[in-house]
Amino acid sequence: MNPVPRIAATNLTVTFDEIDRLRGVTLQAHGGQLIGLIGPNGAGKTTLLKTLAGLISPCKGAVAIDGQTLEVWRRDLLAQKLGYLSQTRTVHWPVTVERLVSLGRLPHRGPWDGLSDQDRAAISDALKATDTDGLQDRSVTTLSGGELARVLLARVLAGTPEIILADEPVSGLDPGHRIQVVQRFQALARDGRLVIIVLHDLTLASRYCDRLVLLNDGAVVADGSPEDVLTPERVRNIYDVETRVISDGGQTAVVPWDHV
Amino acid sequence: MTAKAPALPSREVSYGVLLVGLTCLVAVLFIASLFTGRLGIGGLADLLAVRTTDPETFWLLLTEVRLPRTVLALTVGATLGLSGAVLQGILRNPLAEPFILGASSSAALGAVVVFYFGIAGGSALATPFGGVAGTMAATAILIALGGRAQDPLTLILAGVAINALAAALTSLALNLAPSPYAALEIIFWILGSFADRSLDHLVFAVPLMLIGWGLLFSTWRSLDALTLGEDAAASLGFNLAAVKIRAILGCAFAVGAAVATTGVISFVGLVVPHILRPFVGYRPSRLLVASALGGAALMLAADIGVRLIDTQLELKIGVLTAIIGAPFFFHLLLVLRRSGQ
Repeated sequence: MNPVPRIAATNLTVTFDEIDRLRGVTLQAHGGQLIGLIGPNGAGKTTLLKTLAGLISPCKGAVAIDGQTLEVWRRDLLAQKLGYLSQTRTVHWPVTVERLVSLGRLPHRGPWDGLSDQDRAAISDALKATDTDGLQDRSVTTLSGGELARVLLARVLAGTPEIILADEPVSGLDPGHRIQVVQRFQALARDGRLVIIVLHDLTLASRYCDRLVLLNDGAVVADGSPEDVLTPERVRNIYDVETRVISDGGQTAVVPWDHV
Repeated sequence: MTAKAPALPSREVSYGVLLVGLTCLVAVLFIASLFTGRLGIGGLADLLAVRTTDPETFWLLLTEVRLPRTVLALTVGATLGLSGAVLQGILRNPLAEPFILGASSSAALGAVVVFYFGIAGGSALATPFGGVAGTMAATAILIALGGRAQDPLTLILAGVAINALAAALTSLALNLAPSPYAALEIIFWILGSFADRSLDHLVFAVPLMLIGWGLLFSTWRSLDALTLGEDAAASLGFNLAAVKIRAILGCAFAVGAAVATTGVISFVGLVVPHILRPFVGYRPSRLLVASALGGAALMLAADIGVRLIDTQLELKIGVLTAIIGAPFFFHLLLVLRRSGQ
C-alpha cells in the first residue's frame, strides 16, 4: 500500500452559524478503497465531504491530498485529480446531456482547446459506465430524476479523477440503478482509485463498501470494516433501528428492520 | 429541480455562422445609422449632395454628429447585451439584467451625484466615473446576495429595492435642482438617449467600457461550469470569488460608463441573451460574444428607429426600450412561473 495516504484529514473542526458541524475529525484513506460515509441526518457527512474536496475551509485542522495540504494545491491540478459530486441536482440551463458531461473535461482542457480524442473517449466511457449513452442528445430538462442523477455522475467520471467524492450518489435511483452505480464505484476502487461516497442505505453500504466511516453529531463514531462498524448495538444507539443480517455465499448485508 | 430557464425548442445553429451573421448585421446597421437623419432628412442622397457642395459641413456632420451617436449605440448596446449575459450566467438567473437589478439606475444616480455636487466640475468627462462607482456598489450587493438566494425572484426583489433607492435619490436631486437647466440634465439620465453626444463624451466612456468588456469576457469559462452550481464549479478548479469580483468590476466599468454617457436604457440585457440563448445551445460561455453583437445590433436598429418615427420631439431610446421591454419582462415572469418556479 502507498505509504502516503491519498487523503489525510487531521483534526478537522468546522463551525458555521455558530454550530459545530465537524468536531475533530481525523481520517486517512488510501487508493483502492470504496469508503462509505454513513450517519444519521445532520451528522456532518456532507460537511466532511465538502471539506475533503476543499469547498469548505476548516476552522481547525487540515486536509492533505497526496501529502500536500489543500492550500498548497493549484486549483486546476487538484480538479484533475479530485472529482466531487454534489448532493443537489440542479442544472441551471437546459443543455444537452453530452455537453453537461463534457463539463467534466474542463480541468483537462486549455481555455481555447476544443475536445480532444482523449476528451471524447472519456466522455463516451462515462456515459456508458452510467448507462446514459442513449440520452446524450437529450436536453437535461427532459430527464427523469434518476436519469439526471446518473448523468451528473457521468460528468464526474468524465474527468477521470483518481479521487472521487460523491454525496448521496444513489438517492432517488431505482434498486437496479442503485446497485449498478455502487458496483461501478466498486470497480473504480478496484482500479486503484479512492472512492468516498455518502450513503443512507445501510444494506448497500454493508454489502459493497470496503470500509465504513460512521459519523454522528460531527464526530467519527466508528471507522472500519462494515461488520465492525454496523454492530446491532451501535445501529440501535445511533439510528434507533433494529437490524437483521443477511448472509449469502460468505457475503453479508445489514438490513434495517424495525424502529426501536 | 432541473433547468430554470424556460425551455424553448432548440434552434441551435453553428457558432461561426451565428457570429459572422451578427457581425454583418452590426456592420450594415452601423453604416445605415451614419446615413440616417431625423425623419429621414439628411439621408445618403442628401449627404452626398452636401459633400459636393459643402464638403466641410459634410465631414462635420458625419464626424461630430452621426459618428459619436453611432459609436455610442454600438458600444452601449454591446455593453448591455454582454453584461446581461454575464450576470445571467453568474447568478444562474434568466431575469438578471443591469436595469432590472438596479445597476443601471445606480449608475445614473452616480452620474447625477457627480453632476449635482459639481465634483470635478461636474463635467461630461467626470460623470462616467460617478456611473462606475454607482454600478459597483449595486452589483457588489447583488452578487453577494445572489450566492445565497436559491429562488431567482429573491434577487429580482433585491433589484427592485436598489432601483427604488436609486430612483428616490435621483428624484431628490431633481426636486432640489437649482435651475431648470440642471433639472433637464438630470432628466436626461432618466430617459436615456444617444442624441447630441459629442466625441468628447466618447473619449472617457469608450475606454472604460472596453476595460469592462475585458473583465466581463474573462469570466466565460467559469460560466459553463456554473451550469452545475457553485460547489461543482469550484470543484472543477474555478476560483469563484475571483470570478465574481471580475464580473462586479466589469459591470461597473462597462455599465457605469455607458449609463453615465447615455442615461438608462432598459431591458436590452434581458431581451438579447434570452433571444440568442437557444441559438448557442444554452451554453453560457458562447452567449457572451453573441449577446454583445446582438445588443449592438438591437441598439443601432432602435436608434435608427427613433430617428424615423414621426414624433414632434425625438423619441428617447430609453423610453422606447422600456415600452417594448416591460411587457417582455412580464411575459418571461409568466413563463418562469409556469415552468415551476
